[in-house]
Amino acid sequence: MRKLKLKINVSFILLSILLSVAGVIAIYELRILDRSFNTLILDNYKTVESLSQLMRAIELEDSGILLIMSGDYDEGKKMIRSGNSLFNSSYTLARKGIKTTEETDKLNEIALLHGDLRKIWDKPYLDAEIMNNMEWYRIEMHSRFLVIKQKVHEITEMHQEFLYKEASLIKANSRRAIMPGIVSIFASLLFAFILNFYINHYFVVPITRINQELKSFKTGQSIMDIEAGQNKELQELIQSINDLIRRLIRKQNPLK
Amino acid sequence: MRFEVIFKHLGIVLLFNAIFLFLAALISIYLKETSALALSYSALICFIFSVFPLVFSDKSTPIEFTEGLFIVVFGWLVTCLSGALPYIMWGGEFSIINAWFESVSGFTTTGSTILTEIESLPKGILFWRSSTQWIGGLGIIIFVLAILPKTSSSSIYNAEVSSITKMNFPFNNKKLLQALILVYVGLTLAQSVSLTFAGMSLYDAINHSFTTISTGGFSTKNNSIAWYQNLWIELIIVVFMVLSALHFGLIYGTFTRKHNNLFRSDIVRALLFIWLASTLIIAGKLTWEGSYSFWSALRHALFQVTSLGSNTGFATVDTVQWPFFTQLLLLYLMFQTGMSGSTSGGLKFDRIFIFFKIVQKQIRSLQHPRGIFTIKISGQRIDEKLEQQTMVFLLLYIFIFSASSFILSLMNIDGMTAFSASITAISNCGPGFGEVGSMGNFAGVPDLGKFVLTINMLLGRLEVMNVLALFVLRR
Repeated sequence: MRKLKLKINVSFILLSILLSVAGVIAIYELRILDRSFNTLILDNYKTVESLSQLMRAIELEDSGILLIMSGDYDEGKKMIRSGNSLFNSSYTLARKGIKTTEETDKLNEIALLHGDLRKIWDKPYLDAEIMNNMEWYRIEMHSRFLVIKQKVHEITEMHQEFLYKEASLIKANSRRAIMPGIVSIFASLLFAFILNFYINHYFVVPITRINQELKSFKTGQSIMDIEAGQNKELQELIQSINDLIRRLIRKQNPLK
Repeated sequence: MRFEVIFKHLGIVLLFNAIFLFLAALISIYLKETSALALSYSALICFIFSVFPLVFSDKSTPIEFTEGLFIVVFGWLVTCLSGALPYIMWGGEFSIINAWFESVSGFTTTGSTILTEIESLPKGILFWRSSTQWIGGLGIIIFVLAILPKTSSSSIYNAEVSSITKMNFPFNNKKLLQALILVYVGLTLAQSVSLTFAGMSLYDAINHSFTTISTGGFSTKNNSIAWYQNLWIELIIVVFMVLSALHFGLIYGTFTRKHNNLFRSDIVRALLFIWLASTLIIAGKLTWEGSYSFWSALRHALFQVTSLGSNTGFATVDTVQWPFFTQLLLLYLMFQTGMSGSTSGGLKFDRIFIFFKIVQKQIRSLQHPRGIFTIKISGQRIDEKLEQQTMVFLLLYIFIFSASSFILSLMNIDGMTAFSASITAISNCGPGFGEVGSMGNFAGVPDLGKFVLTINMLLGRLEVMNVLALFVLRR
């Protein structure tokens, strides 16, 4: 009977391995997923926000210049200062969040262009000729603001593309986390089906037949004639019961 | 029917998959690829399902014919299902139907693919993809037969190895199996070494050898062999494609100087003559059309004729751009396939050869009504039963690919694509024409169409009758 126990134990060990490994793989993939998800949601949210703040800062500076040119020095200077401060803080944040070298190059270009702009934005209140000169504003200032805005727009698009790629990667990872589980469910069902077949075929059916034979022995006094297939344990059991029956018959009728 | 016997043998079939999946997993682990876990877990599942039935296994007993049939048909199905596991778990372009398509296409050595970006796949997955063709090339059942004792294998042998294969090799079952496996492994090794010397990387050389000798045609490059632009590589592949389409028993006979060898076979002579003539006709047509210079046309024609004629499916050019006449000729070559006893799937040229002999016999019977005529091939008399089997097979084959062309065209697939996809699937060739040309893929075929094509591939590989015997005649 030790062999029988071993066979059933081995079957359950195999099933446990199947499920445990699926579990380990799913946990491993889920951890990767968790990490990617954090990167995507938290880090990228900050970067996207900083890029939109960068755009707002440029617009503030542009409006400040226009106010100065229309004669409202105090409000204009205030707006330029706040725009510049917002630009510096959002630039630092964006620099921390960007991931690709293309994005870094683009951000460097923005810093350079913004530096050039800063050199000339004092001119309207230092030079009386420039005051109210909208042609000067259009050529020297507005065109530079437009270029910087275009660069910020490009870097935002680049980042969106990066986000899309990251999201696709997360999608692939989530599939990799789920699939071992789904496959192992089907594999376990198949395994259980085959195990059920073996237990029925090798143990349940012969034992039921032994039981039926024993019942018929009670009425008909016959020796059991059951095939136990190749199952040695059941062959031994049938042999033992047959020996017992023979002994019983001999006891009841010594002449037999 | 004893299911315990069937489970045990299906388990042995899965053991081969487990071994190759394990090798692919090792490659992925070494290269730190994303497919490492998918391949490892698939290997584990195959291993568990192969070992499990052995725990309860009885000592080997003779297998009945129906059981043998069941083992062969279900052996292929189980193999294809388990082969799709790493694809399903890895993801990428592999949806469930795509994974099934790629797996069936691999094991049946068809070589059609749904992948649009082959080179972006992990190397482990690509190795597994090539391995499926190598395992399927000789027929996974043949490998199983080689390790089974003779008493328990004869029924499986009769179900797997057709009478037309035995016709060319009049030795006992075990001898034929030994010859097939020896030639298969020998050719794979020889080609791997040759391709490495010709400038291919070892990894690519092994992968391409796996898929050449099995006449599968999966490549590790998007542009197949055209990627290399190397005449020597093309010539080596041509030589091995030709060898792989000939009866392995005859190749064995040639090397061991047996009476039955390549030089004495009428079928080999006829097949090589048709290929040579087709190469010259296509090269002539391409030169005449001004598409290529003569030598360039000859180079491409030779490669495409041997590739599609042997049902391998590699490509050096996009044949969809070729004149319609050449496409039709290539379609016919796909249809006639290579010899029985080779790794070519589908109809097998032997049957076409016998068909023409039957036609010749019928004409002679009409001319001499009282005469008794027999068919002889390579000096050997052909049994009338085999003649009858050949005709039935031929008609069934035509009926099946016509029916599947019809089903595909119902899905709004254009005529040329539907027709060539059906032929290429049932012939286990790979590329077709139209949307599914040699530089294209099957990604655009609707899911139901992909499923129909996989049925065609399996029918082509199992030589139709086995499947019908199991599913139809038993009722």
